[in-house]
Amino acid sequence: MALKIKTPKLIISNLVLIGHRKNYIVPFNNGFNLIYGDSDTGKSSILNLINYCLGASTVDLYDEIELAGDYCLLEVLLVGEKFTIKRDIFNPKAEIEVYRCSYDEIDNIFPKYYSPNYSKVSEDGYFSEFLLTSMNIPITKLKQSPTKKDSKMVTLSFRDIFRFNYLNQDKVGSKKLLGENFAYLTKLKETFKLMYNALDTQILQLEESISELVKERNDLNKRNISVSGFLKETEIDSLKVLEETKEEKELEFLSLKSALEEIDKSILSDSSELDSLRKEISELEMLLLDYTNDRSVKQQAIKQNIALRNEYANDIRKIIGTIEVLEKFPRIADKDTSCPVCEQIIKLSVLKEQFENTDSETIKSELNGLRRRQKELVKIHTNLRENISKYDSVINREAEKLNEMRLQFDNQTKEIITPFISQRDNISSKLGSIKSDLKNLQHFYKIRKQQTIIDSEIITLENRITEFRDDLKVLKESAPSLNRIFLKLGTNLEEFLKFVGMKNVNNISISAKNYLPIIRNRDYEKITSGGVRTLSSVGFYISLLEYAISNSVNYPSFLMIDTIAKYIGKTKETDLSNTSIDEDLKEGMKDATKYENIYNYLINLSLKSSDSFQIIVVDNDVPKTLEDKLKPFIAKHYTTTPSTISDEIGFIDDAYEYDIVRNENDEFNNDFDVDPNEDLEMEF
Amino acid sequence: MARIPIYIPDSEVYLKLGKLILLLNELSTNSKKEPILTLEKISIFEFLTKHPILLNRILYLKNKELIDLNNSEKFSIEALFLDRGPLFNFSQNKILLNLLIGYKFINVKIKKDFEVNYFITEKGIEYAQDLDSQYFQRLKRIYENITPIKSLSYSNINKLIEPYLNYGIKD
Repeated sequence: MALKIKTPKLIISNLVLIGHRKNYIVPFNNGFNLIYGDSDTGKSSILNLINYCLGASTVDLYDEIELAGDYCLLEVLLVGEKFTIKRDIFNPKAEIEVYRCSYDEIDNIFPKYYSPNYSKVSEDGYFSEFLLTSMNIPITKLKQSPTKKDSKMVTLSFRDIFRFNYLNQDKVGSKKLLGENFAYLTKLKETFKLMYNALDTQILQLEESISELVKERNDLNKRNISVSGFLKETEIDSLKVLEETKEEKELEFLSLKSALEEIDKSILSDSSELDSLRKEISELEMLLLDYTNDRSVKQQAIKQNIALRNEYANDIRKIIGTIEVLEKFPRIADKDTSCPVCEQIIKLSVLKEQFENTDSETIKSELNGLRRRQKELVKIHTNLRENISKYDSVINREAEKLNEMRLQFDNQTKEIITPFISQRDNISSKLGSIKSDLKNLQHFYKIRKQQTIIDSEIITLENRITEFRDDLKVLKESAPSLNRIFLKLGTNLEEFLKFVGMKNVNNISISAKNYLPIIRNRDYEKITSGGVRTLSSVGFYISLLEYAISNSVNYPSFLMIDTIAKYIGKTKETDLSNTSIDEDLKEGMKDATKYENIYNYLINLSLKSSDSFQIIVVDNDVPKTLEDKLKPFIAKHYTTTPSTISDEIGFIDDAYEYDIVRNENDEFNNDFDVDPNEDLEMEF
Repeated sequence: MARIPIYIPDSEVYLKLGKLILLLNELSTNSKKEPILTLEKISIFEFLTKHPILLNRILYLKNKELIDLNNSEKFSIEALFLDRGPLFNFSQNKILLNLLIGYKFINVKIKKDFEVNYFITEKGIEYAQDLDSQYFQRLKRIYENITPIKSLSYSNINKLIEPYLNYGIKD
């Protein structure tokens, strides 16, 4: 048996959905991972999110995630190096952020920004190229039409490789396992060759990549030399000295700042002696306001007094007039008078009754009363006048006092604050200069730091160059032929099918035409039993994985399968049109042992070499007989009726407060990520 | 009329009669000795003498000699708060005029369009000239100042005072 590879290219450690209410974390281990649970609990969404974080162009989420989630983090190990990938779940076009640390440390590190597709260039390049480089897969141009010599070249995307690492719910047992787009199928076949180092142009391209890397390294070396030359000429201190001076300056800054605060405090405490004066002034102000109010009330009273006195004077004159008329007009006895216009006859006395007609005695006594009252009013008036003049003098006196106190207050404030001002000015100018010093230091520090970064980049590049050179050596010595790989994959598939217990396992191979399995001499696409197709597709993908475990290839030993038991045991009504029930029955697909055996196979594989690969399986249920045996592999178990502590109600486990109708269509099916700048040409 | 149990000098019939006979004594006829006073004009002149501030405004507008007002005419309660009632209700003045006719102090002349004009008689003049208390002396002075506008029609005078009635007197 071949040796296991030392470090797998891709291992998922954690998936974190950052939400508004809380964060939702799914941890994963090396080897076999199982997520199972009732439908509508978000199992498939987990795989969708992983796929999305690895560059899928879209993500279909169920409503609960859309309501609860914000962005998602995927912590991965790429050839042993820890990275955290951050992607906005609502904006697939936004740049993908990559942090070189675990997901809980991303706040301390500056990310690199990658463009999610080839239509836009980001500061740090394309996301796909980041993944390929980090997995030590050479970035290669593929022939669009491999049979033509002068074919257009298309860029290999990580998405093309990932096709062979992810079997989603629709593809398990599907006749169109790799899709239907002919041009894209061609690209996938070229990708497949690359994965196994079986590309005709591979040696050439590897040499090219190496020379590019060497050039890059030389550039970096030059830059390193010029940076250190610059640092030497400008006499910039070493990192350590810089750090020390920085600390010194920071300390000085802090002490000056506290001195400044001290001064501010003492100004405040000294001026507190003035508080009593301040209080007196405000009290006097209040008193003055009261006096002025009282005075204006009295003024108003005087106005009213004058009006009344005038009225009385008028009345007295009127009464005297009345008496005069009474005395002077003739005493005419009551007689009839005729209206000159209407000739009506009325008695004069009747006419007079319409008015007041008081006798002269009463009027005279009234007159005396009025005169008395007038005199009293005069007395009141004098009184009021005296009052007002009293208020005037008091107000004048107090106002003068207030002015004096204000003057005193101003003088004292001045005396207290003046000595502090020059001191304060001195310190704040010092503070300013230290601040600018610190800024400069920070700048030099960054320059120094950049030098060390370049150093480490050179080392990484050198490692990569060595690895590629080794690959090249192996390739030159023994270029693997595709046929030999097919043979190996076929054998592996046959073993799997036998282990699972499929009937009549014979004539198993991999087609060199469409790179898909051939079962009993029948092309995969022509198999009518959905169950058989399921077993062979799952087996085929597992064989790819197993090959990657023990051979050095250009794809990760990683596999995600959604709903492994499609067409086996119970078949969903929606899937019935794609399979022949009779055939399935004939093949014994209702037999629960096959279902159990798939899991047994995965368990065995994991026990044998769990450090070299990762499989994530999502299923609705697990065989009852295997529940105990599967326990160590369960990443998550979701159930609507939780019975143990480890059971959760779903990926969004606090959604019960929110009444949500889930969209039936939560599976995604569109992860074509073809370079849109290059036309796809049909090949005939 | 309802009687209020306090003494109101203005309500006294003899005071009112004295005021009216003085008014007719000064303003009865124009320069051609034609009677010019209708009930409306008598009422509006009566109102103006009660509120000399308002009267001064009109005299000012007509470029006539102004009255020199004293404090009690400017600052009394009566002067500060106008009673506009007499401008709309002439019935009291009508009765007073009838009383004067009963005394044979005044007479009427009916012009065309059935316009009734009041004028003072010889007997009336005799009695009017006899009134010489302080109040009536002052009243005579005011009527003398009205003389230059006595020939204006009722509607003309009304138009002049209307703005002040609506918006009040402001200095």
